[in-house]
Amino acid sequence: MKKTVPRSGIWLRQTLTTAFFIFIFLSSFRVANAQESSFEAAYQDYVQAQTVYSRADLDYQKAKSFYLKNQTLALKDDARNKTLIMLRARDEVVKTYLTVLKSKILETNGLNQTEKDTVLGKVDSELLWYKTHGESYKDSDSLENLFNKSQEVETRYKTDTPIIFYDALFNISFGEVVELRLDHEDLFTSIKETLDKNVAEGKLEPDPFTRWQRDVDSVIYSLQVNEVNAKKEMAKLYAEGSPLPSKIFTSAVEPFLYSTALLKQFNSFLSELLISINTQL
Amino acid sequence: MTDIQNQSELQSPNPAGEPNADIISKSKAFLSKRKEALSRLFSEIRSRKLFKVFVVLLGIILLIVVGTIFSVFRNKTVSLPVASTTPQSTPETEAPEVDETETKLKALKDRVFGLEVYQRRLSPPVFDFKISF
Repeated sequence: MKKTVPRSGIWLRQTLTTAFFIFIFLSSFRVANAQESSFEAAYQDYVQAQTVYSRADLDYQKAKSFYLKNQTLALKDDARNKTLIMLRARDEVVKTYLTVLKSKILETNGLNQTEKDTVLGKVDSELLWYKTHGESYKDSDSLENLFNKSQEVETRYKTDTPIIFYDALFNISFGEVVELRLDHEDLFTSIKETLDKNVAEGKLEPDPFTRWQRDVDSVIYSLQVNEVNAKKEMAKLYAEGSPLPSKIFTSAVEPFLYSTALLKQFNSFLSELLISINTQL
Repeated sequence: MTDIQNQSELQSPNPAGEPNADIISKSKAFLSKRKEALSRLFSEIRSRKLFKVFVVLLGIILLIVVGTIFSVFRNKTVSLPVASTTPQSTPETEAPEVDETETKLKALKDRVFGLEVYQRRLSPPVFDFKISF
């Protein structure tokens, strides 16, 4: 005897199948979004790590306060436990921050491969230090041990780590400025090609375009000089007896403020060139 | 019988209307066959596996439509009005490559204006290291 399936059952099955396909389809968009930028994903991890650390720090402060008011063994152990959680979370913040810097450098197109490799090598070795240090925490560590391990991080964070941080930050800014200059130069080359073609065909007169091109060339030159000056300033970071890395970074990126103004000028010059060509054709 | 009588017999319509009735009956038969075939097809669609195929196809078409709508909305960017002091060329005079260069130039302008050389968003985290008690 032939088994019959109720019509409502078929409809339910079809609806569920269609819903499943729609779910897979929409999920693919989320996956694509996640793959769009590893920097943004790393940044979200960093924000999350900061939130976890803030909570852990608050718990540690409370436990410490309770213990100092009433110095019992149980409260001391609770304070020790909260200290351990906070220290692990603190190391995690540094690790995720270094990962953010790493992913940002990888996404910055203005840096050449040698520049990227140099700075990424430094970030990686710093990341390894914090990873190894993070693994050194033991659940059975005494409070005194934890204070000593925290001291190790403090020393590292105040000596070697800032140099890596600010070196990476400088390279990110440098890469962004260079990338914008190069992108503008590409457009300038394409405009020049259009111009030369039309001049050769007798559709355009070379004047005033030749003079205007020289003005654009001088903007490019100023941008390149600025980049060299900024790099020279940043090289002080590794010199002996140099001031704080944050101060060197601030003075090294200062020329980029002028670069920003030059890039705006570069952009408006190209726009003017384009409009003039367009109206004369 | 004369020739004139023969001609009038040939030209006069059939009193019984036999040719018209034949055409009508043939077309009726043709239509009923089509109707029968269509009703057979619909009954097959309703009762057999063809129905499943029909629903799956409908589902795929629906997915494609939803996907297209999604991609259109995702690619849509809101452009804010930008004050300009230089005269803009009319669309009639623009060559396609010039138009493309203008678009690239505008995108670069946005990036230049968004440049933040101090990287404040990426400022290093600050900790209080005085933890011993």
